[in-house]
Amino acid sequence: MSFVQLLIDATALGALLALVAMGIALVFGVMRLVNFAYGELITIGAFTLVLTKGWPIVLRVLAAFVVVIASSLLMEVIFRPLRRATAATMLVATFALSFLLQNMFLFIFGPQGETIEFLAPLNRAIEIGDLRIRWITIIAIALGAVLLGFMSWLLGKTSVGLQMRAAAADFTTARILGVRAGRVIMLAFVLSGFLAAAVTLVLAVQRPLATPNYGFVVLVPALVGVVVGGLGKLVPATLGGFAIGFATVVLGDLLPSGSRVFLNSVLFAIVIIVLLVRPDGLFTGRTGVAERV
Amino acid sequence: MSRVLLELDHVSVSYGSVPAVRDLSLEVAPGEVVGLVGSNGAGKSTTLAAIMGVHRLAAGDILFEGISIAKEQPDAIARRGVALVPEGRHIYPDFTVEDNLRLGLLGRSTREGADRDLEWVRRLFPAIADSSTRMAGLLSGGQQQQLAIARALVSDPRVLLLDEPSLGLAPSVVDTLFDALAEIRDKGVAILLVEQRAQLTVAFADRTHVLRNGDLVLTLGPEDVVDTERMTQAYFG
Repeated sequence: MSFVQLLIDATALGALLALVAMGIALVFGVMRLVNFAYGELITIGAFTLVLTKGWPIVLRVLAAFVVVIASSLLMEVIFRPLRRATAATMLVATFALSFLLQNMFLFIFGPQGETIEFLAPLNRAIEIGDLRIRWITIIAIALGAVLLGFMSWLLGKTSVGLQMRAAAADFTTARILGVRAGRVIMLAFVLSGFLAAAVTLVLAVQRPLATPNYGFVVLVPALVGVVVGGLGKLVPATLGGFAIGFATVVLGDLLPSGSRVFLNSVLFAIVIIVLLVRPDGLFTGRTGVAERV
Repeated sequence: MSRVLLELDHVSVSYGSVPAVRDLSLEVAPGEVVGLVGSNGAGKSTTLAAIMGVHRLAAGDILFEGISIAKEQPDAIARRGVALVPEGRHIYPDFTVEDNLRLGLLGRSTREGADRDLEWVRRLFPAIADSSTRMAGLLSGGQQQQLAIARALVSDPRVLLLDEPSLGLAPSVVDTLFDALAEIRDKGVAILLVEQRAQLTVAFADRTHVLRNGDLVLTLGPEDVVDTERMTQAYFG
Protein backbone atom coordinates (compact mmCIF):
# COMPACT_ATOMS: atom_id res chain seq x y z
CA MET A 1 0.00 0.00 0.00
CA SER A 2 1.36 3.41 -0.87
CA PHE A 3 2.10 5.84 1.91
CA VAL A 4 -0.59 8.32 0.87
CA GLN A 5 -3.16 5.53 0.57
CA LEU A 6 -2.23 4.38 4.07
CA LEU A 7 -2.50 7.92 5.39
CA ILE A 8 -5.98 8.38 3.91
CA ASP A 9 -7.32 5.05 5.21
CA ALA A 10 -5.80 5.64 8.64
CA THR A 11 -7.29 9.14 8.83
CA ALA A 12 -10.73 7.79 7.89
CA LEU A 13 -10.81 5.24 10.71
CA GLY A 14 -9.21 7.79 13.04
CA ALA A 15 -11.94 10.32 12.27
CA LEU A 16 -14.67 7.75 12.94
CA LEU A 17 -13.21 6.63 16.27
CA ALA A 18 -12.59 10.28 17.21
CA LEU A 19 -16.34 10.89 16.86
CA VAL A 20 -17.14 7.86 19.02
CA ALA A 21 -14.51 8.94 21.57
CA MET A 22 -16.01 12.42 21.72
CA GLY A 23 -19.47 10.96 22.25
CA ILE A 24 -18.15 8.98 25.21
CA ALA A 25 -16.12 11.89 26.58
CA LEU A 26 -19.03 14.36 26.40
CA VAL A 27 -21.11 12.26 28.78
CA PHE A 28 -18.17 11.33 30.95
CA GLY A 29 -17.33 15.01 31.31
CA VAL A 30 -20.62 16.04 32.85
CA MET A 31 -21.53 12.84 34.73
CA ARG A 32 -18.20 11.05 35.35
CA LEU A 33 -19.97 8.13 33.71
CA VAL A 34 -18.19 5.81 31.26
CA ASN A 35 -21.14 4.66 29.22
CA PHE A 36 -20.38 1.13 28.06
CA ALA A 37 -23.81 1.05 26.44
CA TYR A 38 -22.74 3.81 24.02
CA GLY A 39 -21.91 1.20 21.39
CA GLU A 40 -25.49 -0.03 21.57
CA LEU A 41 -26.66 3.39 20.36
CA ILE A 42 -24.74 2.68 17.16
CA THR A 43 -26.32 -0.80 17.00
CA ILE A 44 -29.77 0.73 17.51
CA GLY A 45 -29.00 3.09 14.61
CA ALA A 46 -27.95 0.15 12.43
CA PHE A 47 -31.11 -1.83 13.18
CA THR A 48 -33.19 1.30 12.56
CA LEU A 49 -31.69 1.36 9.07
CA VAL A 50 -32.48 -2.36 8.76
CA LEU A 51 -36.10 -1.82 9.74
CA THR A 52 -36.51 1.12 7.37
CA LYS A 53 -35.26 -0.72 4.27
CA GLY A 54 -37.25 0.44 1.30
CA TRP A 55 -37.84 3.92 2.69
CA PRO A 56 -36.39 6.94 0.88
CA ILE A 57 -32.76 7.55 1.98
CA VAL A 58 -33.54 10.92 3.56
CA LEU A 59 -36.23 9.38 5.74
CA ARG A 60 -33.94 6.51 6.75
CA VAL A 61 -31.21 8.97 7.77
CA LEU A 62 -33.75 11.05 9.67
CA ALA A 63 -35.17 7.95 11.37
CA ALA A 64 -31.67 6.88 12.44
CA PHE A 65 -30.97 10.29 13.99
CA VAL A 66 -34.33 10.50 15.75
CA VAL A 67 -34.22 6.94 17.14
CA VAL A 68 -30.57 7.11 18.26
CA ILE A 69 -30.91 10.53 19.93
CA ALA A 70 -34.15 9.43 21.62
CA SER A 71 -32.41 6.26 22.84
CA SER A 72 -29.53 8.34 24.16
CA LEU A 73 -32.00 10.52 26.07
CA LEU A 74 -33.69 7.39 27.40
CA MET A 75 -30.30 6.25 28.70
CA GLU A 76 -29.99 9.60 30.50
CA VAL A 77 -33.32 8.91 32.20
CA ILE A 78 -32.19 5.39 33.13
CA PHE A 79 -28.90 6.62 34.59
CA ARG A 80 -30.50 9.61 36.36
CA PRO A 81 -31.04 7.85 39.71
CA LEU A 82 -27.32 6.98 39.65
CA ARG A 83 -26.02 10.56 39.49
CA ARG A 84 -24.89 10.44 43.09
CA ALA A 85 -23.75 6.80 42.92
CA THR A 86 -20.10 5.77 42.98
CA ALA A 87 -18.16 5.44 39.74
CA ALA A 88 -18.07 1.65 40.14
CA THR A 89 -21.85 1.43 40.51
CA MET A 90 -22.38 3.54 37.40
CA LEU A 91 -19.87 1.49 35.43
CA VAL A 92 -21.56 -1.79 36.34
CA ALA A 93 -24.95 -0.29 35.51
CA THR A 94 -23.81 0.74 32.01
CA PHE A 95 -22.26 -2.72 31.52
CA ALA A 96 -25.55 -4.29 32.51
CA LEU A 97 -27.49 -2.08 30.09
CA SER A 98 -25.02 -2.87 27.31
CA PHE A 99 -25.38 -6.64 27.74
CA LEU A 100 -29.13 -6.40 28.19
CA LEU A 101 -29.44 -4.53 24.89
CA GLN A 102 -27.04 -6.86 23.05
CA ASN A 103 -29.07 -9.86 24.17
CA MET A 104 -32.30 -8.15 23.19
CA PHE A 105 -30.88 -7.62 19.70
CA LEU A 106 -29.80 -11.27 19.69
CA PHE A 107 -33.30 -12.33 20.65
CA ILE A 108 -35.04 -10.11 18.09
CA PHE A 109 -32.67 -10.25 15.11
CA GLY A 110 -30.78 -13.53 15.72
CA PRO A 111 -27.04 -14.14 15.89
CA GLN A 112 -26.51 -13.82 12.11
CA GLY A 113 -27.82 -10.28 12.08
CA GLU A 114 -29.47 -8.54 9.14
CA THR A 115 -28.13 -6.80 6.07
CA ILE A 116 -28.48 -3.02 6.24
CA GLU A 117 -28.50 -2.22 2.49
CA PHE A 118 -27.67 1.44 2.91
CA LEU A 119 -25.95 3.47 0.18
CA ALA A 120 -23.79 0.52 -0.90
CA PRO A 121 -22.56 2.32 -4.08
CA LEU A 122 -20.51 4.61 -1.84
CA ASN A 123 -18.12 1.66 -1.43
CA ARG A 124 -17.03 2.17 -5.03
CA ALA A 125 -13.56 3.61 -5.34
CA ILE A 126 -12.25 6.47 -7.37
CA GLU A 127 -8.78 5.99 -8.78
CA ILE A 128 -6.24 8.78 -8.81
CA GLY A 129 -2.94 7.41 -10.10
CA ASP A 130 -2.26 4.34 -8.04
CA LEU A 131 -4.56 5.56 -5.25
CA ARG A 132 -7.90 3.81 -4.77
CA ILE A 133 -10.13 5.82 -2.50
CA ARG A 134 -13.65 4.71 -1.65
CA TRP A 135 -16.28 7.44 -1.59
CA ILE A 136 -17.25 6.47 1.94
CA THR A 137 -13.63 7.01 3.04
CA ILE A 138 -13.78 10.57 1.75
CA ILE A 139 -17.19 11.02 3.40
CA ALA A 140 -15.90 9.64 6.71
CA ILE A 141 -13.00 12.10 6.74
CA ALA A 142 -15.19 15.02 5.66
CA LEU A 143 -17.92 14.16 8.17
CA GLY A 144 -15.33 13.80 10.93
CA ALA A 145 -13.81 17.17 10.08
CA VAL A 146 -17.19 18.92 9.86
CA LEU A 147 -18.58 17.42 13.08
CA LEU A 148 -15.40 17.94 15.07
CA GLY A 149 -15.29 21.51 13.75
CA PHE A 150 -18.93 22.03 14.73
CA MET A 151 -18.36 20.59 18.20
CA SER A 152 -15.29 22.72 18.69
CA TRP A 153 -17.28 25.83 17.70
CA LEU A 154 -20.19 24.83 19.96
CA LEU A 155 -17.98 24.15 22.97
CA GLY A 156 -15.51 26.96 22.41
CA LYS A 157 -17.61 29.86 21.20
CA THR A 158 -21.10 29.54 22.60
CA SER A 159 -22.47 30.13 26.09
CA VAL A 160 -23.95 26.65 26.27
CA GLY A 161 -20.56 25.22 25.25
CA LEU A 162 -18.83 27.23 27.96
CA GLN A 163 -21.33 25.82 30.46
CA MET A 164 -20.67 22.27 29.27
CA ARG A 165 -16.92 22.73 29.51
CA ALA A 166 -17.29 24.23 32.97
CA ALA A 167 -19.51 21.36 34.11
CA ALA A 168 -17.00 18.87 32.70
CA ALA A 169 -14.03 20.52 34.40
CA ASP A 170 -15.60 21.16 37.82
CA PHE A 171 -19.23 20.17 38.16
CA THR A 172 -19.86 21.52 41.68
CA THR A 173 -18.41 24.95 40.92
CA ALA A 174 -20.37 25.11 37.68
CA ARG A 175 -23.61 24.54 39.59
CA ILE A 176 -22.67 27.16 42.17
CA LEU A 177 -22.27 29.61 39.28
CA GLY A 178 -25.76 28.86 38.01
CA VAL A 179 -25.10 26.22 35.32
CA ARG A 180 -28.32 24.17 35.07
CA ALA A 181 -26.98 20.69 35.76
CA GLY A 182 -29.96 18.77 34.40
CA ARG A 183 -30.02 20.73 31.17
CA VAL A 184 -26.27 20.38 30.57
CA ILE A 185 -26.36 16.63 31.19
CA MET A 186 -29.33 16.25 28.84
CA LEU A 187 -27.55 18.26 26.16
CA ALA A 188 -24.47 16.05 26.54
CA PHE A 189 -26.63 12.97 25.90
CA VAL A 190 -28.30 14.63 22.88
CA LEU A 191 -24.94 15.56 21.36
CA SER A 192 -23.42 12.17 22.06
CA GLY A 193 -26.50 10.54 20.50
CA PHE A 194 -26.12 12.82 17.49
CA LEU A 195 -22.50 11.71 17.08
CA ALA A 196 -23.47 8.04 17.47
CA ALA A 197 -26.07 8.43 14.71
CA ALA A 198 -23.54 10.08 12.41
CA VAL A 199 -21.06 7.25 13.05
CA THR A 200 -23.79 4.71 12.35
CA LEU A 201 -24.42 6.13 8.89
CA VAL A 202 -20.77 5.80 7.87
CA LEU A 203 -20.41 2.34 9.43
CA ALA A 204 -23.60 1.15 7.76
CA VAL A 205 -21.97 1.71 4.38
CA GLN A 206 -18.60 0.23 5.36
CA ARG A 207 -19.92 -2.76 7.34
CA PRO A 208 -23.32 -3.61 5.88
CA LEU A 209 -24.22 -6.46 8.24
CA ALA A 210 -25.96 -5.36 11.48
CA THR A 211 -25.21 -7.84 14.27
CA PRO A 212 -26.06 -7.71 17.99
CA ASN A 213 -22.53 -6.52 18.84
CA TYR A 214 -22.28 -4.14 15.87
CA GLY A 215 -21.58 -1.03 17.95
CA PHE A 216 -19.78 -2.78 20.79
CA VAL A 217 -16.84 -3.72 18.55
CA VAL A 218 -16.41 -0.03 17.68
CA LEU A 219 -16.89 1.11 21.26
CA VAL A 220 -14.00 -0.93 22.65
CA PRO A 221 -11.18 0.62 20.58
CA ALA A 222 -12.73 4.10 20.96
CA LEU A 223 -12.90 3.64 24.72
CA VAL A 224 -9.27 2.58 24.76
CA GLY A 225 -8.54 5.74 22.76
CA VAL A 226 -10.39 7.87 25.30
CA VAL A 227 -8.31 6.41 28.13
CA VAL A 228 -5.06 6.70 26.18
CA GLY A 229 -5.82 10.30 25.19
CA GLY A 230 -6.94 11.38 28.64
CA LEU A 231 -10.26 10.59 30.23
CA GLY A 232 -12.13 13.61 31.47
CA LYS A 233 -10.94 16.15 28.92
CA LEU A 234 -12.72 16.45 25.62
CA VAL A 235 -9.92 17.32 23.24
CA PRO A 236 -7.37 14.79 24.55
CA ALA A 237 -10.03 12.06 24.61
CA THR A 238 -11.04 12.84 21.03
CA LEU A 239 -7.41 12.88 19.90
CA GLY A 240 -6.97 9.52 21.66
CA GLY A 241 -9.83 8.07 19.63
CA PHE A 242 -8.25 9.40 16.47
CA ALA A 243 -4.82 8.00 17.44
CA ILE A 244 -6.21 4.51 18.05
CA GLY A 245 -8.03 4.45 14.73
CA PHE A 246 -4.99 5.78 12.91
CA ALA A 247 -2.61 3.35 14.66
CA THR A 248 -4.86 0.39 13.92
CA VAL A 249 -4.66 0.94 10.16
CA VAL A 250 -0.95 1.76 10.18
CA LEU A 251 -0.09 -1.29 12.31
CA GLY A 252 -2.28 -3.48 10.13
CA ASP A 253 -0.18 -2.38 7.17
CA LEU A 254 3.17 -2.71 8.91
CA LEU A 255 2.59 -6.18 10.29
CA PRO A 256 3.47 -9.04 7.92
CA SER A 257 0.31 -10.55 6.46
CA GLY A 258 0.69 -13.75 8.49
CA SER A 259 0.88 -11.75 11.72
CA ARG A 260 -2.24 -9.59 11.23
CA VAL A 261 -4.10 -11.73 13.77
CA PHE A 262 -1.78 -10.20 16.38
CA LEU A 263 -2.87 -6.68 15.45
CA ASN A 264 -4.89 -6.19 18.62
CA SER A 265 -2.16 -7.74 20.77
CA VAL A 266 0.43 -5.31 19.41
CA LEU A 267 -2.00 -2.38 19.69
CA PHE A 268 -2.87 -3.13 23.29
CA ALA A 269 0.80 -3.70 24.17
CA ILE A 270 1.45 -0.17 22.91
CA VAL A 271 -1.53 1.11 24.92
CA ILE A 272 -0.16 -0.52 28.09
CA ILE A 273 3.25 1.05 27.53
CA VAL A 274 1.67 4.47 26.87
CA LEU A 275 -0.38 4.26 30.05
CA LEU A 276 2.65 3.18 32.08
CA VAL A 277 4.61 6.17 30.82
CA ARG A 278 1.72 8.67 30.77
CA PRO A 279 -0.98 7.45 33.19
CA ASP A 280 -2.97 10.70 32.80
CA GLY A 281 -3.18 10.23 29.07
CA LEU A 282 -1.11 10.97 26.02
CA PHE A 283 -2.53 14.38 25.16
CA THR A 284 -3.22 15.94 28.55
CA GLY A 285 0.06 17.87 28.81
CA ARG A 286 2.56 16.81 31.40
CA THR A 287 2.96 20.11 33.19
CA GLY A 288 -0.63 21.27 33.12
CA VAL A 289 -1.16 24.31 35.26
CA ALA A 290 0.54 24.28 38.61
CA GLU A 291 -1.46 24.98 41.72
CA ARG A 292 -0.83 28.56 42.76
CA VAL A 293 -0.51 29.67 46.34
CA MET B 1 -40.47 42.31 50.83
CA SER B 2 -39.18 40.92 54.06
CA ARG B 3 -36.58 43.07 55.74
CA VAL B 4 -34.32 40.07 56.20
CA LEU B 5 -32.90 38.75 52.91
CA LEU B 6 -31.20 35.60 54.15
CA GLU B 7 -32.16 33.73 57.26
CA LEU B 8 -30.69 30.58 58.78
CA ASP B 9 -33.20 29.05 61.16
CA HIS B 10 -31.72 26.52 63.62
CA VAL B 11 -29.56 24.97 60.91
CA SER B 12 -27.61 21.77 61.55
CA VAL B 13 -25.29 20.09 59.03
CA SER B 14 -23.52 16.75 59.50
CA TYR B 15 -20.86 14.81 57.64
CA GLY B 16 -22.18 11.30 58.15
CA SER B 17 -22.64 11.04 61.89
CA VAL B 18 -20.22 13.88 62.63
CA PRO B 19 -21.99 17.19 63.25
CA ALA B 20 -20.28 20.13 61.50
CA VAL B 21 -22.78 22.89 62.31
CA ARG B 22 -25.26 22.76 65.19
CA ASP B 23 -28.46 24.72 65.60
CA LEU B 24 -27.12 27.84 63.89
CA SER B 25 -29.45 30.81 63.46
CA LEU B 26 -28.45 34.06 61.83
CA GLU B 27 -29.87 36.77 59.60
CA VAL B 28 -28.50 39.08 56.93
CA ALA B 29 -30.44 42.08 55.69
CA PRO B 30 -29.85 44.04 52.45
CA GLY B 31 -26.89 46.40 52.81
CA GLU B 32 -25.60 44.51 55.81
CA VAL B 33 -22.30 42.70 56.36
CA VAL B 34 -22.34 39.75 58.74
CA GLY B 35 -19.02 38.17 59.67
CA LEU B 36 -18.40 34.54 60.50
CA VAL B 37 -15.12 33.78 62.22
CA GLY B 38 -13.64 30.86 64.07
CA SER B 39 -10.73 28.46 63.98
CA ASN B 40 -10.33 25.73 61.35
CA GLY B 41 -13.11 23.16 61.52
CA ALA B 42 -15.49 25.53 63.29
CA GLY B 43 -18.10 25.05 60.55
CA LYS B 44 -17.77 28.35 58.66
CA SER B 45 -17.23 26.96 55.15
CA THR B 46 -19.83 24.24 55.77
CA THR B 47 -22.36 26.96 56.60
CA LEU B 48 -21.72 28.76 53.32
CA ALA B 49 -21.85 25.49 51.35
CA ALA B 50 -25.16 24.64 53.04
CA ILE B 51 -26.65 28.01 52.08
CA MET B 52 -25.55 27.38 48.49
CA GLY B 53 -27.28 23.99 48.49
CA VAL B 54 -24.06 21.98 48.21
CA HIS B 55 -24.63 20.32 51.61
CA ARG B 56 -28.04 19.12 52.70
CA LEU B 57 -29.33 20.17 56.12
CA ALA B 58 -29.69 17.65 58.94
CA ALA B 59 -32.16 20.02 60.61
CA GLY B 60 -33.46 23.56 60.38
CA ASP B 61 -34.26 25.74 57.39
CA ILE B 62 -32.68 28.38 55.17
CA LEU B 63 -34.90 31.18 53.91
CA PHE B 64 -34.26 33.61 51.06
CA GLU B 65 -36.76 36.47 51.08
CA GLY B 66 -38.87 34.35 53.41
CA ILE B 67 -38.95 31.37 51.02
CA SER B 68 -37.25 28.11 51.97
CA ILE B 69 -34.31 27.29 49.69
CA ALA B 70 -33.03 24.40 51.82
CA LYS B 71 -34.10 21.78 49.30
CA GLU B 72 -33.15 23.69 46.17
CA GLN B 73 -30.26 22.80 43.88
CA PRO B 74 -27.13 25.03 43.85
CA ASP B 75 -27.80 26.34 40.34
CA ALA B 76 -31.33 27.40 41.28
CA ILE B 77 -30.01 29.15 44.40
CA ALA B 78 -27.35 30.91 42.29
CA ARG B 79 -30.00 32.18 39.90
CA ARG B 80 -32.02 33.54 42.81
CA GLY B 81 -29.11 35.91 43.36
CA VAL B 82 -26.87 34.14 45.85
CA ALA B 83 -23.18 34.12 44.85
CA LEU B 84 -20.38 32.26 46.57
CA VAL B 85 -16.66 32.95 46.38
CA PRO B 86 -15.56 29.50 47.47
CA GLU B 87 -12.61 28.62 49.61
CA GLY B 88 -9.67 27.68 47.40
CA ARG B 89 -10.94 29.96 44.61
CA HIS B 90 -12.21 27.21 42.27
CA ILE B 91 -11.55 29.20 39.15
CA TYR B 92 -11.16 27.28 35.89
CA PRO B 93 -7.39 27.16 35.32
CA ASP B 94 -7.65 25.86 31.74
CA PHE B 95 -10.12 28.57 30.70
CA THR B 96 -9.23 32.13 29.79
CA VAL B 97 -9.80 34.88 32.34
CA GLU B 98 -12.56 36.20 30.09
CA ASP B 99 -14.35 32.83 30.02
CA ASN B 100 -14.12 32.60 33.81
CA LEU B 101 -15.79 36.00 34.06
CA ARG B 102 -18.44 35.01 31.50
CA LEU B 103 -19.36 32.06 33.72
CA GLY B 104 -20.13 34.56 36.45
CA LEU B 105 -22.76 36.15 34.22
CA LEU B 106 -24.85 32.94 34.33
CA GLY B 107 -26.16 33.77 37.79
CA ARG B 108 -27.68 37.06 36.61
CA SER B 109 -31.42 37.34 36.34
CA THR B 110 -31.01 39.74 33.42
CA ARG B 111 -28.24 40.58 30.94
CA GLU B 112 -29.07 44.23 31.45
CA GLY B 113 -26.18 45.98 33.14
CA ALA B 114 -23.81 43.06 32.52
CA ASP B 115 -21.35 45.16 30.50
CA ARG B 116 -21.40 47.86 33.16
CA ASP B 117 -20.62 45.30 35.88
CA LEU B 118 -17.84 43.76 33.79
CA GLU B 119 -16.33 47.22 33.39
CA TRP B 120 -16.70 47.80 37.12
CA VAL B 121 -14.81 44.64 38.17
CA ARG B 122 -12.11 45.34 35.61
CA ARG B 123 -11.66 48.78 37.15
CA LEU B 124 -11.68 47.22 40.62
CA PHE B 125 -9.07 44.61 39.76
CA PRO B 126 -6.91 46.01 36.94
CA ALA B 127 -4.60 42.97 37.11
CA ILE B 128 -7.29 40.70 35.71
CA ALA B 129 -8.42 43.27 33.16
CA ASP B 130 -4.93 43.18 31.66
CA SER B 131 -4.98 39.38 31.36
CA SER B 132 -8.35 38.68 29.79
CA THR B 133 -7.03 36.33 27.09
CA ARG B 134 -4.57 34.50 29.37
CA MET B 135 -5.31 31.11 30.89
CA ALA B 136 -6.57 31.71 34.41
CA GLY B 137 -4.20 29.06 35.77
CA LEU B 138 -1.25 31.23 34.73
CA LEU B 139 -2.31 34.10 37.01
CA SER B 140 -0.61 34.51 40.37
CA GLY B 141 -2.43 33.20 43.44
CA GLY B 142 -3.58 36.69 44.40
CA GLN B 143 -4.82 37.42 40.88
CA GLN B 144 -6.74 34.12 40.84
CA GLN B 145 -8.41 35.15 44.07
CA GLN B 146 -9.35 38.49 42.53
CA LEU B 147 -10.78 36.64 39.53
CA ALA B 148 -12.90 34.43 41.82
CA ILE B 149 -14.28 37.52 43.55
CA ALA B 150 -14.82 39.35 40.25
CA ARG B 151 -16.69 36.33 38.89
CA ALA B 152 -19.07 36.44 41.84
CA LEU B 153 -19.55 40.21 41.52
CA VAL B 154 -20.55 40.12 37.84
CA SER B 155 -23.39 37.77 38.76
CA ASP B 156 -25.07 40.87 40.26
CA PRO B 157 -25.72 39.06 43.55
CA ARG B 158 -28.28 40.06 46.15
CA VAL B 159 -26.50 37.93 48.72
CA LEU B 160 -22.74 37.54 48.49
CA LEU B 161 -21.08 34.72 50.40
CA LEU B 162 -17.31 35.05 50.71
CA ASP B 163 -15.13 32.26 52.03
CA GLU B 164 -11.81 33.73 53.13
CA PRO B 165 -11.54 36.20 50.25
CA SER B 166 -8.37 37.84 51.58
CA LEU B 167 -6.42 34.57 51.65
CA GLY B 168 -3.25 34.92 49.61
CA LEU B 169 -3.80 38.58 48.75
CA ALA B 170 -1.16 41.27 49.19
CA PRO B 171 -2.11 43.83 51.88
CA SER B 172 -2.76 46.55 49.30
CA VAL B 173 -5.13 44.24 47.43
CA VAL B 174 -6.88 43.35 50.70
CA ASP B 175 -7.57 47.08 51.15
CA THR B 176 -8.94 47.24 47.61
CA LEU B 177 -11.08 44.20 48.33
CA PHE B 178 -12.62 45.65 51.47
CA ASP B 179 -13.22 48.98 49.70
CA ALA B 180 -15.01 46.99 47.01
CA LEU B 181 -17.05 45.10 49.62
CA ALA B 182 -18.09 48.41 51.16
CA GLU B 183 -19.18 49.61 47.72
CA ILE B 184 -21.18 46.40 47.18
CA ARG B 185 -22.77 46.68 50.63
CA ASP B 186 -23.76 50.26 49.90
CA LYS B 187 -25.53 49.04 46.75
CA GLY B 188 -27.82 47.06 49.06
CA VAL B 189 -26.22 43.65 48.71
CA ALA B 190 -26.29 41.41 51.80
CA ILE B 191 -22.81 40.05 52.56
CA LEU B 192 -21.91 37.02 54.66
CA LEU B 193 -18.16 37.09 55.15
CA VAL B 194 -16.07 34.17 56.41
CA GLU B 195 -12.59 35.31 57.34
CA GLN B 196 -9.50 34.28 59.22
CA ARG B 197 -8.63 37.93 59.85
CA ALA B 198 -10.99 38.22 62.78
CA GLN B 199 -10.20 41.76 63.84
CA LEU B 200 -10.56 43.13 60.34
CA THR B 201 -13.89 41.34 60.03
CA VAL B 202 -15.24 42.51 63.40
CA ALA B 203 -14.34 46.09 62.53
CA PHE B 204 -15.91 45.89 59.08
CA ALA B 205 -19.07 43.85 59.71
CA ASP B 206 -22.32 44.99 61.31
CA ARG B 207 -22.26 41.79 63.39
CA THR B 208 -19.69 39.02 63.62
CA HIS B 209 -20.58 35.57 64.87
CA VAL B 210 -17.85 33.43 66.37
CA LEU B 211 -18.22 29.69 65.67
CA ARG B 212 -16.49 26.97 67.66
CA ASN B 213 -16.90 23.28 66.85
CA GLY B 214 -20.09 24.00 64.94
CA ASP B 215 -21.70 26.11 67.69
CA LEU B 216 -22.32 29.84 67.64
CA VAL B 217 -20.59 30.93 70.84
CA LEU B 218 -20.45 34.71 70.61
CA THR B 219 -21.72 37.64 68.57
CA LEU B 220 -19.62 40.79 68.36
CA GLY B 221 -20.26 44.28 67.06
CA PRO B 222 -17.73 46.72 65.59
CA GLU B 223 -17.40 48.31 69.03
CA ASP B 224 -15.91 45.03 70.33
CA VAL B 225 -12.90 45.23 68.03
CA VAL B 226 -10.71 46.44 70.88
CA ASP B 227 -11.80 43.58 73.15
CA THR B 228 -9.30 41.01 71.85
CA GLU B 229 -9.38 39.02 75.07
CA ARG B 230 -13.09 38.28 74.69
CA MET B 231 -12.58 37.20 71.11
CA THR B 232 -9.62 34.96 71.96
CA GLN B 233 -11.70 33.43 74.73
CA ALA B 234 -14.52 32.68 72.28
CA TYR B 235 -12.13 31.24 69.68
CA PHE B 236 -10.37 28.80 71.92
CA GLY B 237 -12.81 28.29 74.79
